[in-house]
Amino acid sequence: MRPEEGREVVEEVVRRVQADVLASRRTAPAGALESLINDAVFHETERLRRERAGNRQTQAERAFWRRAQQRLQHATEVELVALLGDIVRWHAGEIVGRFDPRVYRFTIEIVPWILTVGLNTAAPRRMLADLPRLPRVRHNLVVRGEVDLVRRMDDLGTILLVPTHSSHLDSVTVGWSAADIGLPPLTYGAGLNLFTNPVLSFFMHNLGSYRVDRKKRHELYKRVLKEYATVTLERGYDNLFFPGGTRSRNGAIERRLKLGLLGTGLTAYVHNLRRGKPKPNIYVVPCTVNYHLVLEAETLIEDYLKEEGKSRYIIEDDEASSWRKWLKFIHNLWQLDSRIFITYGRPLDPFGNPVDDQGRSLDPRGRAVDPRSFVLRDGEPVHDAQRDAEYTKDLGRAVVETYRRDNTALGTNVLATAALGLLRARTGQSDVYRLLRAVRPAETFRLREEVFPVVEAVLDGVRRRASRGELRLAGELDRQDAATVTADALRHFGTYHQEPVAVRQGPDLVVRNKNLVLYYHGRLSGYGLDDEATAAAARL
Amino acid sequence: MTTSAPIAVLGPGSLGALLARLVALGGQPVAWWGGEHAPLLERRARRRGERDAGTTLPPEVRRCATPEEALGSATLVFLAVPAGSLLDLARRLGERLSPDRLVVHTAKGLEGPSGRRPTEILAAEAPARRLGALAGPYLVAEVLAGYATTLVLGSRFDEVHQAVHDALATERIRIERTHDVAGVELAGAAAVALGAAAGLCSGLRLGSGARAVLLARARQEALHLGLASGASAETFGGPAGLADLLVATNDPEGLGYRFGRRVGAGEPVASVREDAEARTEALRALEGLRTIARRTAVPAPTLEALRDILVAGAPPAPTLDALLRSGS
Repeated sequence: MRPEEGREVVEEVVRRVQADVLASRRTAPAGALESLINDAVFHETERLRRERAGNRQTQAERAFWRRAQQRLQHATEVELVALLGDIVRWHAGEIVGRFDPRVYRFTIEIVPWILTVGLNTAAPRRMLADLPRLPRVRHNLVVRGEVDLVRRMDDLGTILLVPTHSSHLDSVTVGWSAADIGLPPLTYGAGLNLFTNPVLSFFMHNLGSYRVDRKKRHELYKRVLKEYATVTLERGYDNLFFPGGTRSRNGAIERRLKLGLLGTGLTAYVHNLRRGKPKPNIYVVPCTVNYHLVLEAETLIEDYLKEEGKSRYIIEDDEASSWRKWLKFIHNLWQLDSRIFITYGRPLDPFGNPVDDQGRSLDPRGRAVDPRSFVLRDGEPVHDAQRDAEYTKDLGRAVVETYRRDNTALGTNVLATAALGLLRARTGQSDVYRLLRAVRPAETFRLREEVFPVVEAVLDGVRRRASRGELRLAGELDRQDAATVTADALRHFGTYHQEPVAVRQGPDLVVRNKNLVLYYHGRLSGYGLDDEATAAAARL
Repeated sequence: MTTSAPIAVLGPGSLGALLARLVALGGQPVAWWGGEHAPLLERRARRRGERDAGTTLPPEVRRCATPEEALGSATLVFLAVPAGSLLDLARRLGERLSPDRLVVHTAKGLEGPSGRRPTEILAAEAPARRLGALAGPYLVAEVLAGYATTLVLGSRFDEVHQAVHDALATERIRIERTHDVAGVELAGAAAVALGAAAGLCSGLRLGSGARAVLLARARQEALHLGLASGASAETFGGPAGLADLLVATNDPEGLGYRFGRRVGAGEPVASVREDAEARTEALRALEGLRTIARRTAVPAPTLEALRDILVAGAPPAPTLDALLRSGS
């Protein structure tokens, strides 16, 4: 947002967090305010103590928190409230994005050309053969689903876009697809690590992102983040965030969501009603993203499988932190003519009800229902934290259901599911950890006699489910036979990753990377296909 | 939160009338729809000693000819109909059960072979989202006679808890609150089903030991079904569960008990079912519990056997003999 509006938003966030904290003090135990501030001071002081960086920003932070600690000692009630305001202002100031529509337009126009030319240098002969028409990046991004409906919702209210999250590439692919279908710039929280490069930072800011420091875990920072997102929604800024909270570690589609940010849509809606805003509606749009290969798959699955059981929530030193890896990945996509599927789901209201093409909420029987009536008490819209938390759970369930339905099965997922079934049948192990221990470094299966029949069984399974509307298929999977699907998947699996997932050796398939087999099968877990694959393998 | 808007009670017979009476005695405006079958239900109620059923309500209770009229502008709505009638009522009212209303049902039971619980029926048919299930070990006659009573309200929403408390709680009537809606409904269904099972044992003149084993096993199976459906064990062990079960299995005048006793005594199931006065929610509850058992893959041989006898007409004695001998 523009700098002057950014300042207004910061002050609004300060006002609301202060009011909220002071209101909750009536029922909170004595000393709750001091405890909240102390918690923030303690966590920030500890975090900065662990920071090695001595740059200007870190020094300024250290100075701020030192002063806060001093002010906290012997502070009166009035001084505590003032200190609370200053801390919230500090955090909100760190978060707030800058946005320049001119830079946004420039970026949206120029980035695809850069990518297109850059990618085509990987295949200059192909580029020359296609001249004067340059292949377009757009070809590799398949955007489908309720696109027209989503565009319409943007005219009728404010959008909260909630995509699945597999890769840091998601911000780029979803952001690009949103612009491509005609949505205005999305406001979204991006990890601080994406702002360390000054050039990238410039573009990130001007593409609508705001900075989120996931190393900050204290309660006050989370409140400030939520309030910031809420205020931007109320001001009509379409928002994006990943309700799964982090990238899927095992490749599976999200089943449990972080409801805190998801609930900001409802909070913003009630505020809009109370202020009599002309277009108060907030529309939540689930968006499912599917890749043949995932940039950071190796690190993610390794994290998932860590013996100590505790996965790292924030991973910074993975494949996405390397520019070379990014380029290699994108080159790979291009050379394989690989597609990324981005499916926009049916928009929902903040209560999880689907909406029609006029933006009206629909009840379970498809009748229009007034969404205001969910939040009325004695005829007035009111906030009610307990009630709204339950509504947000309902919304979360509806989003997860949409993710499942719109999840697109790809050839790599099909082959990985078949391979896992074969490994299960061979080792007799169904427990993941026991299975992975039992599997040898290179497990070999006869393509014709073993792999194709199980791939066929999995294909049959995904097609049946797709016909019932339980998931989607990449178009070609509808008609390709097992041999073709396997060959295409092996083309993908044989490239990019350090250790190929699986390779063909003569008449055999050799599984080389069991962890990645687990990862790529993950996208089709939870549909009952695992059991069908294992059963088909057992019948051989 | 005490609502100034009227409270609507939709439901025939003694329970609907009781709720309307209690709300009125609490000083809140109430509109009551007694249903089309009031005379039949009033006869039943009189037989059970509920002499006041529907006939001597306080003047503050506004009697309505239709459920739509009773609904009016009420913010709190009690649906006091059996589980088997809930779908029809929910469909009839449809969008009138709007999201700004708090809707509480009193149906103990399940829809039948679908296995749907009452709140699931309401969620599928109506836009209202703030739902509640009112259950517990109460007998209408005892409440009318002034005995101390505990009701259990299961709802995800604290607003619903507060509204029902404000409407019904007195010195003699205590409302226990829980967020475990599935538990309240499934435990209630189990109580209804096992009421019929207790009657069956009585009709068969089974000994106390055999009766106790049968009921204990069935209850255990119902508990496992509940846990598999997300309910909490605590609910099954509390007033909505064990206490209600004790009432249902020791109430010889209960509809389910009498049904089971007639079947145990040798009457064919089909002929007992034809008797309108013998209609019981126990049969639907047994059908529903069987469906849930199969859906959740939870073994429930005792409940299945009870269903086979009381619904499908399997010979009672040999079926129970085989079950008790199998030790499962």
